[in-house]
Amino acid sequence: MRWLEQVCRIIATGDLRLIQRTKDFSKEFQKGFPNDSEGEVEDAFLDFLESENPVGCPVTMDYPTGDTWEFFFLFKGRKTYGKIMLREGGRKVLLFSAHPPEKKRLRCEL
Amino acid sequence: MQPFEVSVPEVSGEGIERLITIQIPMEWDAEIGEWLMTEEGSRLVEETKCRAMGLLTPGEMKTLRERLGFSQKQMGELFQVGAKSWTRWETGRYRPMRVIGLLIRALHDGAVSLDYLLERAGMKEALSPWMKAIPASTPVVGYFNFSSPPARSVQPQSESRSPIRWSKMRPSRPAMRSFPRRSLLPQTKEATEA
Repeated sequence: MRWLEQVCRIIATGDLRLIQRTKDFSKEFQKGFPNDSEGEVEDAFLDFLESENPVGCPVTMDYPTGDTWEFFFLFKGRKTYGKIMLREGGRKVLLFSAHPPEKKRLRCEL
Repeated sequence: MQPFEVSVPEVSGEGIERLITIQIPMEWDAEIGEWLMTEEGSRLVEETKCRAMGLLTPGEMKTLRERLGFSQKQMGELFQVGAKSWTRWETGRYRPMRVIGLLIRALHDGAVSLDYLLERAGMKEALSPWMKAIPASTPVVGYFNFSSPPARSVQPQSESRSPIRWSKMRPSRPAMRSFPRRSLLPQTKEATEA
């Protein structure tokens, strides 16, 4: 799947010019995991997205500037909600979320 | 500049001890209507958190290493951690566990001698004669005054010792695979919940 390949390739670079983070991403991540680093959660994203059968839901945003997916993944042994956008023609990723889930289910499961 | 609340963890690492509000540079992304973190902003957040936790900042760790004239690999050997750990700490990508951070701080502050750590890491024998002559009790800050640091003279004996690993390195990531797999869409509710 092209989205997976491109997102994994970009996150694996660790290049912050290509991996963007919203203010809310950092704020909510810190709130949920105050003792952990954002670099660690990027590696957890990769572990999940490179696993055998990652599942998630496409998200329709108000601003259709990219391809966004949400999913649950494990971070430090805890179920965590993640949301990532692939944008600028697949050249950059935007990390929206990595925090303890606020809802039990993803949008496409409702 | 935008306000940002830095969450300082409790010593247990679980909860939040306090919040520190700082001003950091951010970029407004008009396309999605959100503030984005900048590299500088992320650096300031990390530095604030490190200071509040009593740890050296990534920049201070780099300065410490450079003053010692050690490579990142040698610093990893000195603290008996995986080869990549020091690099990750110095770049701010990861933060050391509090107990190791305390030891690094102790070396920085001269509360534990470099000589002691070198000996415990099995690196002392490889030192050049002039560095060996430094009294064991000399704090690391004392080394900073030497005009010629022992940069290239320290060769850790990595082959002849079995260090205690304080943090287990993750295995190297496998090469990128293609994804001729099932759709990302959940196959079953059970699979998703699992």
